Amino acid sequence: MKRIFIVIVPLFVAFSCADLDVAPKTGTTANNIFKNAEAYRQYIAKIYASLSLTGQDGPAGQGDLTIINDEGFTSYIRAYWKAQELPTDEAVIAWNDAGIQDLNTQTWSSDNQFVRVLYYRIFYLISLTNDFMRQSTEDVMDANGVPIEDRKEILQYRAEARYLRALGYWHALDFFRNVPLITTISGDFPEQSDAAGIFSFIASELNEIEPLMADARSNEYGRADRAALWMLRAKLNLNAEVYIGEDRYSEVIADCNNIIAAGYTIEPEYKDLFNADNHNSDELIFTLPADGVNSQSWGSTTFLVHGAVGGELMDPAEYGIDGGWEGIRTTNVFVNKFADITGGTDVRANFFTDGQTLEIEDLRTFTNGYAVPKYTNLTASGNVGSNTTHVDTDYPMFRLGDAYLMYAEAHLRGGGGDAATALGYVNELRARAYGDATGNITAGQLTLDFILDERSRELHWEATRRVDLIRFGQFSENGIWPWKGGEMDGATTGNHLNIFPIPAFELNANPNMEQNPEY
Amino acid sequence: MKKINWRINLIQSGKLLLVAGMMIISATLSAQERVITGKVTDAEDGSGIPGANVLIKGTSTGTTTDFDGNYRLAVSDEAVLMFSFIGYKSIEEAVGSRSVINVDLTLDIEELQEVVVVGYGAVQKKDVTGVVAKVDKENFNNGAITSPTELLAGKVAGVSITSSGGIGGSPQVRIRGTSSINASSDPLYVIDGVIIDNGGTAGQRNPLNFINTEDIESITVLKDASAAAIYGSRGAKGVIIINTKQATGEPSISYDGYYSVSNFIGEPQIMSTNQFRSLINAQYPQFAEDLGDANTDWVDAVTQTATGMKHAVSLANNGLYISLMHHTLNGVVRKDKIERNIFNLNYNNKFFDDVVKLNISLKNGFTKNNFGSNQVGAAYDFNPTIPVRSDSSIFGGYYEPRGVGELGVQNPVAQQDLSTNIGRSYRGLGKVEVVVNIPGVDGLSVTNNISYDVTTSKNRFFQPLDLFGVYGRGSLTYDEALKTSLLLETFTNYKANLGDNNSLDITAGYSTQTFNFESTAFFADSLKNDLYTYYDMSQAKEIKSSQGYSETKQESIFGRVNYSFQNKYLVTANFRVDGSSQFGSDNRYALFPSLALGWRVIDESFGAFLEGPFDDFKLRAGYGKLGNQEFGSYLYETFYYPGTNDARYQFGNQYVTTLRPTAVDPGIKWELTETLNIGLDYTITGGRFYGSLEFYQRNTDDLLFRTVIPAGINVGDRVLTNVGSMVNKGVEFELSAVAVDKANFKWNLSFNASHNQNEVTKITGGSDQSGFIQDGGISGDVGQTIQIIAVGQPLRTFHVLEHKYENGQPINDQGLNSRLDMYVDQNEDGIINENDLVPYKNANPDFEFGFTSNATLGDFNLSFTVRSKVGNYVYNNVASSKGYFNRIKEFGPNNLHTSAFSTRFEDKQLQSSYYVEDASFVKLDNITLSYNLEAIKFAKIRVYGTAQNVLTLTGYSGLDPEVAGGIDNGLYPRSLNLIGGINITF
Repeated sequence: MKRIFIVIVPLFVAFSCADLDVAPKTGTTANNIFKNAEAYRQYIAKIYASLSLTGQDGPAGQGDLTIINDEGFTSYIRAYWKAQELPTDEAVIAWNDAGIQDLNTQTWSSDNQFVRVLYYRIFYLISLTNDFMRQSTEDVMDANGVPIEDRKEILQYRAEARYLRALGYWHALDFFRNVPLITTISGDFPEQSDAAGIFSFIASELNEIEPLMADARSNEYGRADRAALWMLRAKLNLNAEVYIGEDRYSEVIADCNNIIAAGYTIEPEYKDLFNADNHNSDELIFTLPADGVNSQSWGSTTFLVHGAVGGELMDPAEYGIDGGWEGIRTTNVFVNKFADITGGTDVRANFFTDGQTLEIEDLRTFTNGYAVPKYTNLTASGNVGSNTTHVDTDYPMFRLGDAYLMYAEAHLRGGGGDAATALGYVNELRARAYGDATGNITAGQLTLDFILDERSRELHWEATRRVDLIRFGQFSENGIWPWKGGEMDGATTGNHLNIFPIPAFELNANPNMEQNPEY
Repeated sequence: MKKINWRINLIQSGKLLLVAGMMIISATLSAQERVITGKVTDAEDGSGIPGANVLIKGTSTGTTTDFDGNYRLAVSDEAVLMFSFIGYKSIEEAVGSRSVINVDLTLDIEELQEVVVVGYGAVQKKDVTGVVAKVDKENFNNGAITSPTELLAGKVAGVSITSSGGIGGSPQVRIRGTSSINASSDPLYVIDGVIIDNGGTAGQRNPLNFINTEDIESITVLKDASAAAIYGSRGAKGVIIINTKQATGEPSISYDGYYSVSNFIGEPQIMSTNQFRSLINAQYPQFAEDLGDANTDWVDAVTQTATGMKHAVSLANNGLYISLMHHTLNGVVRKDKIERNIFNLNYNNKFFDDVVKLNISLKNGFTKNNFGSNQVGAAYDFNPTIPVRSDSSIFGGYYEPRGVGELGVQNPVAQQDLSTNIGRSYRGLGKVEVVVNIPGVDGLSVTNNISYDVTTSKNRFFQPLDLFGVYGRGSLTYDEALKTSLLLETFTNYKANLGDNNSLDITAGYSTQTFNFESTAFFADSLKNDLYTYYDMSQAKEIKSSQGYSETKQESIFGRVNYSFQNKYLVTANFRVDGSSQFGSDNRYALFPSLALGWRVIDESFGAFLEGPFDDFKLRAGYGKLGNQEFGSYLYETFYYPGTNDARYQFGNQYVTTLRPTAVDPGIKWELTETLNIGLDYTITGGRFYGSLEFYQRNTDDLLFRTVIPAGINVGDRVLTNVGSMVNKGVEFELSAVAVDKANFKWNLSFNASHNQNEVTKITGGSDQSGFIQDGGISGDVGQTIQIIAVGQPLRTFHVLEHKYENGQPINDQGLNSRLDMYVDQNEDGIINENDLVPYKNANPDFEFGFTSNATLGDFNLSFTVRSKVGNYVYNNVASSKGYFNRIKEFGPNNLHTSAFSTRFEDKQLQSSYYVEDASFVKLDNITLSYNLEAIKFAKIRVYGTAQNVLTLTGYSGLDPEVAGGIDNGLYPRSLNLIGGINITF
């Protein structure tokens, strides 16, 4: 018997209760990483990066979003650009990915994956900023032992996080209008808000953080400063009639004046705004930096450079890249905004026409429609960027030229300012385009209709066309261009298309949401 | 004993015909031998046993008894006679000088009371209350089988086993349908009492490949909650218990060996070289310059006739069982190969007057995998007019149609030949178990066991500098993984006979198990030179690395009470309380209970009416709650992970590494499954027919779903959370028959049928369940899916545009401007888009059938297994992604799937209902003919030949109708396997 207990007893002793608290050994939790400014810097870098990169592994891998299978489609700027340009007269795309042709023809539905990814990408940015705010309160920093001397820098990041959240909400307002206003991380179903609610949130946030942002042109390259805030607020207010039916043009004038006074200068060569070393430009106010080696994705400018190249006759090497993706071209309506399409008169008429037809018989054939190689991976001096697949070209989110045109438009819309100044700004841009004063216009020619066309000539393919057309009432019920409404010659559409539908995914996930009207 | 008497009465009164038949076969006498006569009687009541077998030992010569139990047989003096009958113990009698030999056979209690393992113990089959199916080694499938689970294919109702096709791969095993979407639906495996973690690691094909299938004694499947509840949080998907051989009988040494040959079967559905050439010349002259002079059969070029070989030796003596196995198997894909060396030791012995019983088990499997690149899909595409090789090629001598840096298809043979992908793994499973029968307390025992499970594996992949696609760069990857698990268990069992046919069996125990996983991976890009292939990472200009580590702990208490009242009323209650470190502290512990009742109706006095046809008639009802926790660790915790160096973001002159949070639900918990099962076990006509009938409903709630969340509420678009619900309902039927049981001719048949109906009942946290989740990615376009998960539909429901037909053909897009002419505009909005997709058919079969026949005639044995599924649909992605004419324009001169010539589709119609095909099938899985060599006396020698994948009857147009998941795309090529083997036992 004794021998038996010798066997049994030690085994029972060995079976003492297991401790089920198993701390992870890889990966870091919030409380053990946010201990100094460097960690917050890396987090705010992620929030900025979420505007152009798609995940944690370049160019693809560990994607931020999984609601769509191809990570390349999840790029913020790529989705944003498509939504702002493809439904307009400035661009069509040849591809046949499910739903993408519906962007060309304004026939999208709430199941459209490009609409869905746009919505979720915007709110992904918003949720990161909300989490950043949660992880950077004084209480959390005290608990984590963040040194006092690091906190000034962190407070700066907090202001920028709020700026980026406001930027995201502006996009949400512009595209989807009736979205929830979410400022925390929570498991609860958020309530749907409306244009007035979102608009006033953005406006009050921008007012609050205005003094907290870095002075214009003082921040590190790639980070937003007070001029970026002014640009955002000017754009919000310029479209305030569309969003909330309010005239806020005088505020636009005020912000444009702030921007113009900050010391930015018009880039001498138009093309240098969109090339591989455009970070040198003094005209750019807020950019999303790209780098062929260190900052890779299949979205952003890599899409804009490659997507615009195709056909037998276009040589990708001419644009500093290893191949064309045969995607985006333009319609005859945009081409016809230039009297001389060679670029010999107005350099902004930068078309590639060899082997391309002006008319688009088949949306899916790249050679139908002129190509627009506006963005390139070549430096000002003609050298190729650091990588021929992933381009170095920074995405120009906001630039001085746009502020000039906004000033002129706000003036014409009764926002005050000065007529001669407005004309001067417009002619400064035209003089750059023409190389001299031959393209300058007179005060009499400076009309709102002219502004709409001039914005297209100056800012085409810079993701502002849809907003502009809507503001001028030319996007849906008025305005005709090839394939609008699904017809080759174009047809008008319903004005409910001025905003996109709330994606079906969101409606399914959140019982508090209602679909936008007429979807 | 009433039942047994009845059996004999039945036989005596009911089998005249059979006995008459047997007497005809009764021994043909030979002149120089004596004739022995005698009578075989029941030891209990002395009545004659008709139809009993009388066999001369070591031969197949024999006879059967007549209606009264009498027999006559010619024998020599040295002969030993063996007397046997179903349900009785066999006995042997040396003939000697006798001329009359009468024998009494006694009932074989063990056979009648077959024991079934049920987890932490075993019960007699007659007392089983849950749904438990046991398959013994005699009934396993034959052939070149690597995976233990494939031994069961077609054998058990409700257990669906779909081969991966590849050599040594993991078959998909589903017990009573799919029970989870995002956690694993694979069953829990218990090997010789040890719960194992069956997740794979890099370099392995199937984590169970460390098992030598020759060592397996039996496999038991626990199908319902009342049976599996003892495994609590891990039992929801069913449990497969594998028991290996022990040295119990006489000393023996045996050898098993076979040689196998496999050939690719199926006709590639692509254009011949001549068809291709003339199509290009006639329709696409712009590509004529891409035509070469060669005539290359690319599918043939990437496949091979594959051989395999196995040698297994085992020794059993005095409680010690040792086996060694060497197995090599080549795949029909070139360079695909698996090589296994397995050592297994089982030891059991009793000490101190049987007070202490020691069981030791050590299993060690060494596997080397050569992963041949499956280029069959690429071979379908490749231009057949170009040659495989070209002397002037810079790409390792292989012809490539494109130049350096150009995008496009790659020579599939070059991909196979130039790249190398090797895996090596070791898995060891060890157990030491001490069972102490407490002296002085009859029926009380304490079992303690310590077990370990260790896997270490490596995977290395190399692409040389001259391979097109990575030309001038090359790359190598190196993955390493180490998995360990330690299990400590103690449980006490008390069995008591309470008299009056009442008995009690109680088990209670405690278990704790720790799982560790470590991994390291390197990806080395841009090699300076590739001289040392994957051995020299230092040649890389850029190396990315990653490391992983996880640890989970589990602790449990569990128990079971079996109570049998008057041998008629059976009650089984199981419970397990599991604690797991996988969950946040609020959700760490849960109770999983079950209750099952059995009622042996036949033993009731009023049950006498059943005694006409029935020998046994037992009703069962069971209910239980189970969990599923097969998903990653630390899912309740948000982590901040850094990005890679090429995904940094520029601030000023610095590229800043980014830090990203993971989106989690801090309240994540087990998936819960509740099962109700009502069943019947029956035996008819003296054990000649027996089987079961089951009805079940299984509700799974709190399904973990990587669900789309309302945008913006968490730092991601999806969060893994417990939101979904699903129901599986079904019926299972099993029938086995001893069709013929004579001395020289035995024929056993078994048949099973099952029906399972799956339905998703909840998918999101919102109140609106009308949405759906896209599922089932397909090739042919980026981001395209063809299935949905939607409430009211089964899993794997296809989501398609309904194609319109004309004269039996789908309307094609030749000359059509509008897709409205091709597809049904479901919402009548004048546009065909994603709003017109409708749920249409699904990949789950309505019915599955299995049929096994095993016939022994003299020294010959013929067995075969037929399997069938009915009502399963498959989306033919090979046809949809390659069968349209504009493919030539889009991708250059690629070969086309021949369906293009019947559909005449210009553009791809990926979402068309046309490609969803009925894939019902009947398969003759394997057929084996074996012969016992009687001529050799010192050993038992059996030679056999097996053919696998012999015949498939189906209306499906693709290569194989059996596609796990229902999307046919890039399947591993199926093969016909012919095996010749020998077993020698001393």
